[in-house]
Amino acid sequence: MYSLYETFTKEKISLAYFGVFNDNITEMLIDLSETYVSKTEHLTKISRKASFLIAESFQNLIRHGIIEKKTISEIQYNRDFYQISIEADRIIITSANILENKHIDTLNNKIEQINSLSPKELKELRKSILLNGTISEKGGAGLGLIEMVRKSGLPLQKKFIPLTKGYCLLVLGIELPIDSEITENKINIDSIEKFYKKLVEEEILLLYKGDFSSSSNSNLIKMLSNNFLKNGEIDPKKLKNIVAIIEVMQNVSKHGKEIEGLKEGIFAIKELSGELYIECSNFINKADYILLKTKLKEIKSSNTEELNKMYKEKMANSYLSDDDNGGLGLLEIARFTKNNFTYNFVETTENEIFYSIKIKTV
Amino acid sequence: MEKLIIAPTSETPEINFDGENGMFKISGKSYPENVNTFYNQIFDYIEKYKQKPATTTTVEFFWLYYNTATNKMIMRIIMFLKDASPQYKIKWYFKKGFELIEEKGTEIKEILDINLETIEI
Repeated sequence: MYSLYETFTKEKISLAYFGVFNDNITEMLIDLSETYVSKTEHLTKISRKASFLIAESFQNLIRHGIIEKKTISEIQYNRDFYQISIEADRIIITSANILENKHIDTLNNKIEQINSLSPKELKELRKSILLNGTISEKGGAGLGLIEMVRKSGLPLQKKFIPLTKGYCLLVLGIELPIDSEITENKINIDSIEKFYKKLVEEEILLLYKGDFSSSSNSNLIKMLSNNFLKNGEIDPKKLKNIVAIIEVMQNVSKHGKEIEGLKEGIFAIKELSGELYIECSNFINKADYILLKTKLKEIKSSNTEELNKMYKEKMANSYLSDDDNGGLGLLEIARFTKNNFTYNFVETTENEIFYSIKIKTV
Repeated sequence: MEKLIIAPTSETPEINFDGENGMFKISGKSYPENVNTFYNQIFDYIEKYKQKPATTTTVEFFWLYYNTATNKMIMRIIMFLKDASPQYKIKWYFKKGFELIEEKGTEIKEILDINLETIEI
């Protein structure tokens, strides 16, 4: 996880997501971004534009997302992808989705045309489409793309990556400058492609780097819990996973080291050989390291009966006190996963340790 | 005594306390990071109730899920209410299939050594 964390050098916050693309997720992503944006003074002026672009690019994915899953299940890079990153001078939204090759020319020309127009010309084109325009069979009129360029003020970055069986992957990048003086794109579409492929190869479904304060956690938990629903209802078989995610995230918020005002950490959901894993990492003070390591060692060496006994004793002794849970969260994770978790510490500086915990879900 | 009604949010439960009739109902999800912020108002109400309790205090829980910090609050609520009246009843409802919630109820019953009835609905 530390090597993955190190790839995010410029991003204050970044969320990469493969998964269920629907309006609920869009709302939660907007909430998550807004939580961060509203906390960061210089970003508030672009918060409305950011929300609009997130919603628009997401709707684009839903509209053009995979329809015939069976046909393309044999293609390796066949997963719709979405990423939002907040850097010091801009917000970057990237997405990737599968297209049939027959759409490449039309879409490519449309994007090229939109990118070449001035703000005034874009306004005219929008007006003309609204008055006489045609709606594509996918439900769009190109208006979404026009609005993306109008709102961001910078051309869209794109790449059509050939896949097999008549399909390609469209990687789209939108940049929203925080300062209106910025007039140049910065996205390297090839590095986005590389990042996308790395996540697919490592079977990562979701990757979040950023703040783990309680307001950010709340939105993330809502979004993640959504993935464990069955017909819109909580799937009782997945309850333990939801609670494990909550405990892991709140643990970072409580014990993680604050860096530049953020409880910084990285969180991933991976699917390895059909099994779902949750991995979470954050920095801790070296002073806390020995205690945590001892606690984890004790938990890992215990059997189910011992874990239950430890949990009950700790609960009985602490429920009347307002002190920190004292490892109750870790014990709960161990019980829920039948001790199927691993942990790791990397010494990064003299006073800092990068701590990771990886849980196999049930 | 006035009722205490609190609507649920995505991370806090629905509260329906009727001190006049000794009925205390809590349902939904609970995973606020700072449990005290939410549960302090509940303990304030219980304190007032204890001054003039009903003959029987009935506490009903109907959980979907909650975090370990909430587990502590649930136990505290039970212990604060248990001795308020000459008689008490604790009903622990759970949805069919939610064995985890049933187990959590049984566990609390064991830890606190109390009468707690688990009921599938």
